[in-house]
Amino acid sequence: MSSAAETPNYNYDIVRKFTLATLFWGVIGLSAGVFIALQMVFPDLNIEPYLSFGRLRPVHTSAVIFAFGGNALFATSYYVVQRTCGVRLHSDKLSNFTFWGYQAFIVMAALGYVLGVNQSKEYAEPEWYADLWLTVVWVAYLYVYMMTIIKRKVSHLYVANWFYLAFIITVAILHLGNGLALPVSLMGAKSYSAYAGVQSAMIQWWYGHNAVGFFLTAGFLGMMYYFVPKQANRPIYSYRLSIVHFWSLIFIYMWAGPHHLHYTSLPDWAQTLGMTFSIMLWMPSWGGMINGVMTLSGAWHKLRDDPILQFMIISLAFYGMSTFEGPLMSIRSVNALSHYTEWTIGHVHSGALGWVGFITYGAMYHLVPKLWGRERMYSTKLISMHLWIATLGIVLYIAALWPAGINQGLMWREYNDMGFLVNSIIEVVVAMKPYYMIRVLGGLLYLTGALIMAYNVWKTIRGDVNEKEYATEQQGAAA
Amino acid sequence: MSWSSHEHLEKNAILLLLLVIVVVSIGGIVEVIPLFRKETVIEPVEGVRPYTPLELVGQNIYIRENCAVCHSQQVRPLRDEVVRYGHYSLAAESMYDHPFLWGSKRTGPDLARVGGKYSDEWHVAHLKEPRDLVPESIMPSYEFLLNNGANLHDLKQHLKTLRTLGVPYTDEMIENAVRDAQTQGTSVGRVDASGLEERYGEDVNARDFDGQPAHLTEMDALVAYLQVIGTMVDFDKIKDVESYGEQEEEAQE
Amino acid sequence: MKEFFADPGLGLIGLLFFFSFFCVATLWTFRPGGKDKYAKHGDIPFKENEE
Repeated sequence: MSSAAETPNYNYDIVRKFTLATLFWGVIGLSAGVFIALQMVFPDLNIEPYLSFGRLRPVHTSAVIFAFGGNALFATSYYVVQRTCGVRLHSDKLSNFTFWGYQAFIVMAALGYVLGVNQSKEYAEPEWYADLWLTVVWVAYLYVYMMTIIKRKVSHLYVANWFYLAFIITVAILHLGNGLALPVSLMGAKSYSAYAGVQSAMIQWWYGHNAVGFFLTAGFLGMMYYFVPKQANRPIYSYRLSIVHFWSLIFIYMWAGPHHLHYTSLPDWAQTLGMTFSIMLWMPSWGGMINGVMTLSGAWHKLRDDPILQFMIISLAFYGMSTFEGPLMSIRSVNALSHYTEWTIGHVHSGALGWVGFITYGAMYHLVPKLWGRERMYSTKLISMHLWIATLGIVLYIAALWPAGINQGLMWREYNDMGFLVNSIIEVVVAMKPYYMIRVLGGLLYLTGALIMAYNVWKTIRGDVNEKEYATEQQGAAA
Repeated sequence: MSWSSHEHLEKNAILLLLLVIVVVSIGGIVEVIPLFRKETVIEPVEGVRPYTPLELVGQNIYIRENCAVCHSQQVRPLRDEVVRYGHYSLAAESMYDHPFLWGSKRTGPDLARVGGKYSDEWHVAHLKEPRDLVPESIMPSYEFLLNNGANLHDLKQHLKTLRTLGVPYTDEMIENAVRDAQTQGTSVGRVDASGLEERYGEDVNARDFDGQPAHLTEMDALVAYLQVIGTMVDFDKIKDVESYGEQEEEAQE
Repeated sequence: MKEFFADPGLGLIGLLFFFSFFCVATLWTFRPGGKDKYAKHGDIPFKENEE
């Protein structure tokens, strides 16, 4: 343990960079989402060939998952590892390389999609050259992170770091395993995946589901285990539960992939295994949620007027909801209805907008004043506004896509008295239109929230303080 | 695991890292490795052949435009899907797809059995402006495919790459890749298609697909691909597979 | 692997195994005692050197 006298000289510069990148890509990714949602209502918005739905959809998914989410994970992991280990981040040069290298990967990938370079593998669309580049950046990330841990001055490694570490190493394994491909030529962008058919499907969803499990869950749980206790100013509810949570989550998640392939040509035994483990996954997921929420036990009053804490707790509620819905949808008979429908899209977004988005916003609002040496955010009211506009956006989004998906699935399998199918595919497409409209509205609200946040952060960095709010608070304190 | 040993783990980062790797590897190993014993996974089915060079160019356009985000290629053995689309998909039917294109979402219809369902003219008109044929459609239009020449220059290399990955292209197929592509996309009677048929079977669709006989366009290639999807297996011939399907459907009732 | 997972008794064995595992893990997590050590670890984020 270092004494209080020798304050470590933390590298906040790198965290600031990643924080700004998070906000920037967040706005880009959400805008892309709103745009492609509009394309599904107004097909004339497809500007072919470069801005068609097919090419823009990976721009949206990559921008929100890898650019927004990825930068948030870099920023918070670099912050948390320094503060819980009591040492400066290893190698300024290398950590700087991870920043610029990662942004270069994002731009490379997105440009590729728009120009028609993609592998058509969901969440693994970038072609071989971008994949190779990402591998280099990721190895540097792992190295910087590990070296910082090894040099630490606190003997126990705090649980948030385990989750970050598992996220980094597992994403590396998944990326390498799924990305294996043979380029047609070293001068061209095109490659062929090393796997075909059934094998390709199984490996893709082993990757795809664990991109959710490790990128969007384990990494963000690391964030949760640090920022929720910090914001609540209370230690995590049960440290022992966090240990059980960690090992069971990382073990079980890796088996769940085949639930994306129910009733397909994948052998039945693999489907059954995938379903079984998906249902079991419910327990560690809720263990984590309980651990986060119960951190506030005995101090619920803190929730009343701290919108940052509200962000975090609502995010845990969405985490609990989507990790209940996920196992439900992985049951074969439910999946027979839900698969291929908008229900899946609704499920993904309750997790992405609710859990990943909100825990990130909460962490960022906590982080920004500390990084730029301000006492607090420019305006607490604007944080509150962001919270409620975004929550309304999510509610509209999922309230539209749940019934849309169930309706879609039921219409596809609807028979008349004669035993014939009632609906043609296009009739189902037409029935989706009102839901798609509501979805656009939900997305717009969520995007508005992010813009409010960007404004609030910009003012905070400039060093502004909302005078009116400040004055009212002073008055309140005086009275 | 006793508590003290876990505490040890929390202090040794390298050990923690290694243990994480072991724990996360188990699931993948159990589920993925057995799939590489192909004989237990893919029942061999007569008729499935590697794509012709032109179909391959078409499939790569399908990949490039990311058609799979709205169209699945996987009919499940459920009553409504078999009635709507046709026989449920077999593992063998996608064994030469690098990568698989089963998709995960049906904004539009499944395409696993689309081959031969519509005429070439329908496909071309529909891809050009989907709303001309289906007014409520929300599909983007792909008119530009008519103006893009099909890219054949490195076709040989494409086939070679796929052969390295296990697709059984012969030397002859690789040698004749470009000519076979040109032959397949040209009107019948204008060229001798016997070599193409010798290599890829007599059922291969050889004709001008896009209504522009003088040009071999990306539209030719994409329609050639669409017209072959799901048509390689003759299901009237495989009775035992049929009965398996009926069992599955009953199980669903 | 195929034959192994086709065993009809596997479902029951698996259910019992994982359920008992779950019970043991839960009991271990919430067993009394050893609180101090954990409390110390949980306090790590609050013992940082603020600058």
